[in-house]
Amino acid sequence: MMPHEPLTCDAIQTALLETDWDQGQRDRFARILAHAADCPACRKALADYDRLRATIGMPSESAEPALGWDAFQHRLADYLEETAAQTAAWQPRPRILPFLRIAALAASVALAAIGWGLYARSAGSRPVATVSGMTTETPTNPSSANLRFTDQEIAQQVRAFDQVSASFDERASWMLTGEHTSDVGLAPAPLTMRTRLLLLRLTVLKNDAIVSNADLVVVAGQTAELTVPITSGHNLRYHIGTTAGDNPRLSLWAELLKLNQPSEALAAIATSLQARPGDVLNAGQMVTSAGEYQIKIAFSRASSAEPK
Amino acid sequence: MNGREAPDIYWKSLLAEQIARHSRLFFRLAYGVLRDAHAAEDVCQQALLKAWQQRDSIRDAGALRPWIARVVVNESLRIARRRKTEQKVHADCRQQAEMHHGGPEPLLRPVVEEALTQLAEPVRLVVVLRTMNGLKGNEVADLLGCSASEVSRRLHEGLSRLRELLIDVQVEA
Repeated sequence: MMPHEPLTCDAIQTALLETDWDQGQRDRFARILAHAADCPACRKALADYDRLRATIGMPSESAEPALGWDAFQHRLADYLEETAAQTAAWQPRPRILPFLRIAALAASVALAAIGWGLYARSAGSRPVATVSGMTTETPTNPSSANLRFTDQEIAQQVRAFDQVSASFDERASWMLTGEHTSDVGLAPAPLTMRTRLLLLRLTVLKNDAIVSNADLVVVAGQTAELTVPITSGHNLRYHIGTTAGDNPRLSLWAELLKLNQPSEALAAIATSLQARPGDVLNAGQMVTSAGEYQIKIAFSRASSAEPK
Repeated sequence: MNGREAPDIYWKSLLAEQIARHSRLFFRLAYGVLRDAHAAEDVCQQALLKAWQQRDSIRDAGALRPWIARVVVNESLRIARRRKTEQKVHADCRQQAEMHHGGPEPLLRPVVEEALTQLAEPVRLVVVLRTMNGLKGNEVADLLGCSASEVSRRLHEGLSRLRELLIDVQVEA
């Protein structure tokens, strides 16, 4: 309110609303207070705002977190670190087209259940990586026979892929299931010729102990880009290309990534493999200062149901 | 870069920056409503979690501070409202709550908190930031990304509504 503005009740009551209600403001609004002394309506307005102020007024400036500001900031920073690490390790977000998000929500629920179910059923028949807080390694030293797909596992994987693919209007080009991860890749259009499926069991060993195990089902001729967590606190990003022939070729690019710095690769391998059903292929080794990582791929293939 | 395109590492660094620069503000926003340091800390943590979970839907990373502030205020009011309900149910606790809140009319505070939740969010935020947290008009404008005159308008609207409510309560009493 300007110093020479007429003192109407409307102007005063508006000014009362706009004050910061501290004593300094009160002094500046001496004219208002003088008016209010003689005006019942404005006096009432002032009393009401004083009452509101007393009720919901400002807290003490000295209010601070229970253990001080530093501890509070550390708590939040630690919480963020923990939350982000959990997300990166356990919940890789599918890279899917925006218009498929709703379908993806429904399918991802099914995929998570299928992934868990597949591992729960097959864990007893072959060595698996034991994950506890992403730090524990279990020295299992698996034989090749233990890594191969059984007929029952192949049937389960194909059935699961068909279910997931149906949820995505037959666009699924690959499906990943593991103990702590699941993901799906989508083609831009339905795959009408997807009757041949390739099954790849991606096993990573560190110093002869399994640190990661995940199963990939991919339509022959398609490419999969996926990330799998490993128990040493890293992620392994795969780029796997396939061909559609009777004895398909696999091209593999794998990068070992820090959990919190996904743009920084600690090591990588690139190879091309000829695969026959029942093979357990040695895809290569990555040597880091923390140890030696070996990638093995058990291969099989199957036929899927015709798309409806 | 918007939320959909940004990688997690980008959001993590953005949120870490918010913690380093604005955690005091977020705490005071929550404390202004709740008057409880432990609860205010929890609200800040929840707001951080919500920001992380919804990072894909936050279109403008530059607007993260007002986004978190809004979550802090709304979550604080939600808790205050829940406390009011609990206090109704547990009559024995009511007297203690009144003593905790202090002030000349402790019974009125839950009524005002309830009324605050009925205001439109843009108006509610301004009222809470100006009256419960003591931020100046230009500080609120900066925080919410609007003009100072818009802050005045919203404050006027919100306080007028609260005053009407106060009069209603007096009449009922």
